[in-house]
Amino acid sequence: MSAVIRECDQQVQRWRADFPILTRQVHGRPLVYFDSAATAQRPRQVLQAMDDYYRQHNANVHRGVHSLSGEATDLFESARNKLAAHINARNAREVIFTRGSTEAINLVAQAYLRPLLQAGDEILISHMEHHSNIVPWQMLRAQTGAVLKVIPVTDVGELDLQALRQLISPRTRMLGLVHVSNAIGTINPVREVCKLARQHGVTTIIDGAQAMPHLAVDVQDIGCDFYTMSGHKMYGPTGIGALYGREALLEAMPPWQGGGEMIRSVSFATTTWNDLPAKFEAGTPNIAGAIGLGAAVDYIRAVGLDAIAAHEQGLLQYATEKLLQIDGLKIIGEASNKVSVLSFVIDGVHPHDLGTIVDHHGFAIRTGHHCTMPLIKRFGLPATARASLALYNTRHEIESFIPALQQACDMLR
Amino acid sequence: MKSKALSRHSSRPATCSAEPVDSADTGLDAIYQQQILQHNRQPVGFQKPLPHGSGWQQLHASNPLCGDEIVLAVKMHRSASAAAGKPEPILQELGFNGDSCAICTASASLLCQQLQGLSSQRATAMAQQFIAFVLCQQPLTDERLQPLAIFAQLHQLPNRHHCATLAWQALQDLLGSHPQQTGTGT
Repeated sequence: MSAVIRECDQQVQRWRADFPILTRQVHGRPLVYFDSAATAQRPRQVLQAMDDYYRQHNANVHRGVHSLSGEATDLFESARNKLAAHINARNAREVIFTRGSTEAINLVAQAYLRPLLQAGDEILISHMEHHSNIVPWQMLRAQTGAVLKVIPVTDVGELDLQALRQLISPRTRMLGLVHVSNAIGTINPVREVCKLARQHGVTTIIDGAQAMPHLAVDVQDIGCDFYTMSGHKMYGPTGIGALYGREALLEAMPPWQGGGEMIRSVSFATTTWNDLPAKFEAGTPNIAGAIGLGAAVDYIRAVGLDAIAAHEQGLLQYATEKLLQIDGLKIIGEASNKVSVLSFVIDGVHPHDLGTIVDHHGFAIRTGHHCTMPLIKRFGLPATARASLALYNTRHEIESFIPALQQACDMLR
Repeated sequence: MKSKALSRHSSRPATCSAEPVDSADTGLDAIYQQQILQHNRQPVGFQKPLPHGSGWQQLHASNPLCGDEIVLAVKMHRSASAAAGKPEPILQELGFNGDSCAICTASASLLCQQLQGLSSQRATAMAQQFIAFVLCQQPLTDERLQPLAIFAQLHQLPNRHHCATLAWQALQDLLGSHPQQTGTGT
């Protein structure tokens, strides 16, 4: 057993060596980065790919006949192909690059659903959604007179499936659900939910931003109509993400934004649209970002999602045990299926003070409502502290977190 | 008073050696000074529920980004100014409650402690001065604000500025000619 543990430790140390920022110190202490749900760190392979593009292949994509443009286009489209294969899309036309999951959801709200909605039609979302999967539907409600209904969340932070079955109605047009909660780590039964939605003719959009770094995602197996992704949550750069959409739906949709690239021909009399995926990618894209996202997909696949999941589940279990040893600490979100995200509160210690104090010991955690104000309010709290663990975190880091937490308790209680 | 740079860069292998926790070594003592911790543990003016009725005004203030929520209550009294012969509003009593971090709670406690019995005009000026002290490092010249110099280290923590100023911004709204909100007794 000890040989297995040593091999696991060595494996994690090899992974950590890929992340240059982990050598930093904060307030004279080694950085312990427990905030990957806010944004993950980037391995050197991603940084190298983006740097190489800018140093060796920088040119605008698609439109040029010169060699550099061809190279840039190849790198850009290769990244799209990698992502499409990674999520088992039928083909690359079903993968639209966006700025992130938020823009992808807004695209679906305005370009897919808005033309179809009538006053009184219903949109279903859950109580644990990130604001990015709440506000676009509220805006749509104001524009169309649609009704927004909310699927409740149980006291342990799981989706109330029984309530969902009762909420779906003949007027339901769209069901939006987060795959993995950024605030409390719950993994939702998206396959089951999408099956239920299909049985009622309801279109589904799954927010996969927090799922992609932790889980294997197969959009055909899930059976969703749309799936959204954010590059910076999955070890890729900021400013890039993607929307998966079933080709038939994307073909039928009007464009999202107008401009160059998304057109086939332009005259002042009439303009025709380009084919997928370009129809939804107006303007010069975030070429370096897409290449970086492709490199992030390569990195995740090289490490292996099975290995990542095994390591992170071990960390989750260990961190849960250690945190619960702190007097007055309560974990928020105890779903039976979780990723390595731990939201917690401590009696007499406000999360904001906790965050400042542990920061001075080198620990980066997040405090506040985590862009899920309705969910945090549902648990009767103004805020929580959140430690979100990734492939580069270790049991030793968790062990060293406990004395820092304890110091906060001793100072403030 | 010890102080430390907020961050230092140094190259080291990406191993995870934890060092012993040592409060004296971290600069936390400069931010969480004993007076702040004391005002957090036993805040002046903290009441549940807050009084309401004749002369009392309340205002709910929150910083949703960090989770601080307070209700500030002030009982105004109009006393004749000997010099001008005109009634001058006086902050006769102050109270607050809510769910807020130690910085916010201590700041609200010191507000209640230092402003009692002062004129509305002076309290308004003090609020402006304290907010400018926190946000822009302007000096604290009003002698009744000197105890709030303990928040000086927040200059280096912009993400905690609004914790310290929340109660004072609420006071400005309460004393202003057009208060933004009135709360109910809580």
